[in-house]
Amino acid sequence: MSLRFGPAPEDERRRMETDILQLRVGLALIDDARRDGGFEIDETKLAARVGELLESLGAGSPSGNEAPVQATPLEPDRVLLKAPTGEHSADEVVLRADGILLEEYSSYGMKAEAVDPTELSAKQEEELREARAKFEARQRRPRFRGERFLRVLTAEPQSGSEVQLLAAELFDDGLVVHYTFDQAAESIESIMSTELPEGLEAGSGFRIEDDLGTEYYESGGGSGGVQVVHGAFAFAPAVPPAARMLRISSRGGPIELPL
Amino acid sequence: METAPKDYFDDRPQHSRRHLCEASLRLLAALGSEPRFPGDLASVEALVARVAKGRSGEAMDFAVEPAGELPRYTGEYLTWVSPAADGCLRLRHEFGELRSEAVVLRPDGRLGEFEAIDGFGVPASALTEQARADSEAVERLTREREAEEVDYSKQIDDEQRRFRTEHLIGVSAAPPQDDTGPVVTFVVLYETGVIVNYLVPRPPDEDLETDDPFAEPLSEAMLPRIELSDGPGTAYEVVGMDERDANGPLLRASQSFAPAVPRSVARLSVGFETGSVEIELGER
Repeated sequence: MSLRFGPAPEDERRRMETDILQLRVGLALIDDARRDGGFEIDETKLAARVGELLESLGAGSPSGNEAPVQATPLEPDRVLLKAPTGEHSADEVVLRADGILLEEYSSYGMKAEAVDPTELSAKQEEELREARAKFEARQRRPRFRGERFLRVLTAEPQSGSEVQLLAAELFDDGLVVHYTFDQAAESIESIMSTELPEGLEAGSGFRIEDDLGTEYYESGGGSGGVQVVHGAFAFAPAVPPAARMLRISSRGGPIELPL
Repeated sequence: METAPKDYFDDRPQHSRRHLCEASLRLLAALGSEPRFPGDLASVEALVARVAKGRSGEAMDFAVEPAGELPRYTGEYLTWVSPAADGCLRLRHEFGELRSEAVVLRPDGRLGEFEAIDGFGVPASALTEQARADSEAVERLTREREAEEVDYSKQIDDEQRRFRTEHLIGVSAAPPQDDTGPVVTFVVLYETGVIVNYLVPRPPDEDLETDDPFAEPLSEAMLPRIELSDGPGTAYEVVGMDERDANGPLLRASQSFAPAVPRSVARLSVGFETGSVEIELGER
């Protein structure tokens, strides 16, 4: 069995051809801009011009959302060229009148379908109620912004632990937990699929407690790295000044930091 | 002889074609209000000098070659430009080997058919001395690159593994600092290097606005120049930079350095342009 990643060769070839068509249209628009002192800023006129160009380039005469290349005026010296790659996706470039491609990206959209709430089944209504309640509960949670840094608690290396907690930065509205772990390429899938021990936050994989029983909520963060991952996750609220101990639990077990 | 169907797409020529389109956009724009591209080398060189510059470090280098001669090769990624008939330009993209793609750009922005050029496009017996020298140079460069690629892969692997937890020695907190500039929060000591974690006050919005579309003022603010110094005078070099969080009022980032802080060093000084902080490293 052989594995191939990425798009099929034919899809890739088609995409690159569309890409080149997009730039051929861009070239003609640059020529227009040379003569007119800037790009056409009237959206309708620009669309008509792109339609003409596509026809002259042998790309047929579809119009509107069907056109393989679409242009939107942004400023007299900038135009957005969009090449649809699927029903809700497109490759887009911003072309400047000096010939520079300022931005190149793929955009993806979603199609939303309105559903009449009266058509919901009892089960769906229950799910909707639960989802709303969870959302509202999340909205009421304290959030970390990290306006004022207070001090840092450092951790000793934790012998034999998969996850090494490094430090916790304390702020006036929460804390940020820093950690690291090794990740062999072949183990990515197994780590991703490993279930978290009960009670740990789904995002960070940490639980924070103190000796006063404060309830801490995860409030953003992330991690990155190849072979070695470094991460930092924020929690709110702030550690109360009266607390004497902070317990941080991860897959590797709990570690207590005196305050 | 039967050959198995290719299940991959050799996209280098296609990428090269796209590159030629992008180069054409710039050359056409640089032509300004002139009705035709210039027909002499000096004027083509002047046109190339007027081409707008893109993002720093981008692979968009131009060179000028005379029309009607054998193509030149350097083994690099270069767009060769030469005058062509009827006020056109010929662009040829050399993509790191003895192959190139070429196209003719008309002054009205139309491109001719793309042309794939294998080697010099003539039999070996017709090669000039220059072509033979170019060919040898590219082949030598290719061999060197292949050898370097192996070293480079190993180097990347070593770098990715530099801060594995098995090398972790410990973490040292930084003392309180003036918080009007970058504030070091803690350093992580490894047997293979050291990572400095710090916070930077978010610059005012007006400082983040710029007319330069390629400027990255937030990244610049997050990754200031840091100098480490210790008693023995170890020469630390930056081996990694990480923008951890750019969303809050304090930007969070880290910079990694090598070599390791010697065991005998008790204090490490972390210096920014705005000041420095001494960190007690404790017993190790």
